[in-house]
Amino acid sequence: MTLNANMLCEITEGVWGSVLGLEARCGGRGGESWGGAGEDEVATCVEITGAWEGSVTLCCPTGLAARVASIMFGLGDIEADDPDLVNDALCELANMIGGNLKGLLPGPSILSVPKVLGVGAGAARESLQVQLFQSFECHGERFCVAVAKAESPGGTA
Amino acid sequence: MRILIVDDSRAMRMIVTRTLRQAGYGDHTIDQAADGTEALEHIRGHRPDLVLSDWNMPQMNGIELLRALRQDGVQVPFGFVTSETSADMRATAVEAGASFLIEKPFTPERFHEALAPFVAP
Repeated sequence: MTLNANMLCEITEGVWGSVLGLEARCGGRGGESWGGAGEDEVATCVEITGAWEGSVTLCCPTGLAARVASIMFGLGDIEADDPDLVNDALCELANMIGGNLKGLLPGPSILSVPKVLGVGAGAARESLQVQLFQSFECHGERFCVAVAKAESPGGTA
Repeated sequence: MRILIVDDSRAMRMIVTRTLRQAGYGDHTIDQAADGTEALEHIRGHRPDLVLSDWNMPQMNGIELLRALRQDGVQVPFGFVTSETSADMRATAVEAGASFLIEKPFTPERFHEALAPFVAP
């Protein structure tokens, strides 16, 4: 099965709504190239290895990321500004989106522990190419989810 | 009754704790461990009545934890709370002795449905 934007939208909107109680609306850019995480963004990703090889990256502006962390840690209106809390929250969301996408892909495959990406990175490894990119709107801010894929299982693109 | 939550994400441990309360399990003692190794030590010392574990964790993952417990003869009811629920993984979990698998994201109702046969609210 080939992943498409509709799958990415459905899963991400579902995770956002269920875990955060926030509405994320799929829209805007999709399918075009993406340069990776910017200076004012937090990007986290999970890698999938096995019958399907690639990674799933979640990239959020810092303001939205802090709000998301605040909700996940039950801090109410207090914005979470501790990078450890923000990274932990964003890693878990990437894990959920990646895990749910993995369920749609050919198996068997293994999902990695999520990790934080550096500025400019768009995938778990440089050798992976972003092939699917979708932006979402949430409370006036935009975040995105990108799927990067190796050319062939076990390959390095 | 004592419930142990095993997850390397602090955020997820908080969410699972919150969901347990919403599902009616707030009066039970809820403990936490950050990975399988920490959980194994905790279980040996505290003998929880139920373990809720993530699958993917550093050090020792969830399935390794479950296998280690069963190898030690510890038969505590064990459920996975994970974002991965492929048929292969479900089969692996059941084969290793897991009682149930809850998919992330989840609801309090799903928790109640899965936990009720093992722990009364």
